[in-house]
Amino acid sequence: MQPVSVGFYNYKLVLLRALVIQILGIGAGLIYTVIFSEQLLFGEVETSEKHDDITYVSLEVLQNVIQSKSKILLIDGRSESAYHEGHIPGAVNIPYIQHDYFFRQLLADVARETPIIVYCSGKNCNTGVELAKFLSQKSGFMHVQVFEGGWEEWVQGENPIQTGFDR
Amino acid sequence: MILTTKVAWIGTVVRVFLGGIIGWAGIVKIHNPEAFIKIVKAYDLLPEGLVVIWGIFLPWIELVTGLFLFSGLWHKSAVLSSSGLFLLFAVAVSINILRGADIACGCFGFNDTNLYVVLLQDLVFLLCCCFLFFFKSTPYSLDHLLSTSRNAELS
Repeated sequence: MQPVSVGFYNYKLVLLRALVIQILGIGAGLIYTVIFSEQLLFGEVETSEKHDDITYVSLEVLQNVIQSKSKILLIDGRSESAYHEGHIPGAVNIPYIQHDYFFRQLLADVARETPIIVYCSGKNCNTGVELAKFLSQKSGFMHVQVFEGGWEEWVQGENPIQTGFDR
Repeated sequence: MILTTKVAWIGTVVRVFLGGIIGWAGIVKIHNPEAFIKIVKAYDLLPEGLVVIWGIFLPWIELVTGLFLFSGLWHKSAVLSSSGLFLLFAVAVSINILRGADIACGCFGFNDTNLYVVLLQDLVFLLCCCFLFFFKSTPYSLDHLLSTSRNAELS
């Protein structure tokens, strides 16, 4: 078999070249962004991206739905510890990172026509939308919405909260 | 140190695979920078001002690193750069797992991923980088091609 040498190497050169790779990446990104997406560098970035296939509900709508005692399933997509510290009354906890497991445990037998509203910690979390996509696109639920303001907006609005586990 | 050609060929496969993965991850993010910036924001590890800059440039660093690794040019430097990226991702994901993780990964454009799986994946890729770092170059790489033609010129 033909031998392949792997021996000693000039590690200063390796580091320098690794730095050049980073600089090339930054340079390419700068050129591309200046030409094609200038607003990202110099303008306001809209990071609360909306998904066309997801419908959103406001705080007022959620309050009305809860007060009218409509038959909806409210899902808290945050972690178990965050849910334990406080959640919207009546919400069921399906932590996003273990959603497959919790889905099988809690929602597998729920009628697919049941309206669902999902929320996570606030406007910056993306797990609410991802959970909603999972429920509507992969699990067959027909009426899934996202409360975009999430836990943050609920608390700011001085709405009632519930602590502990409600499962 | 001498390695057999069989091991070198495994190195080629790992290099091409990792280069492809990193490059592809970059392309997916470049395709939708706003979505990626939102995910960077959700990780909640950087000050507001750096989130956009990071969101713009990281995918390009991934793409260029992926191209270097895939083509086998500056092998060790490309491996070092890749290791840095995987280490960074592993740390970011670990912090958010410890915090109680209220985010979806956003790693390859598919968000439906368990963060524990993502962490394991990053660590496996990091191990692959460690393996690749033992090589000066692997077969079917630009480094290999350049050194062969240089040797031919000298002889």
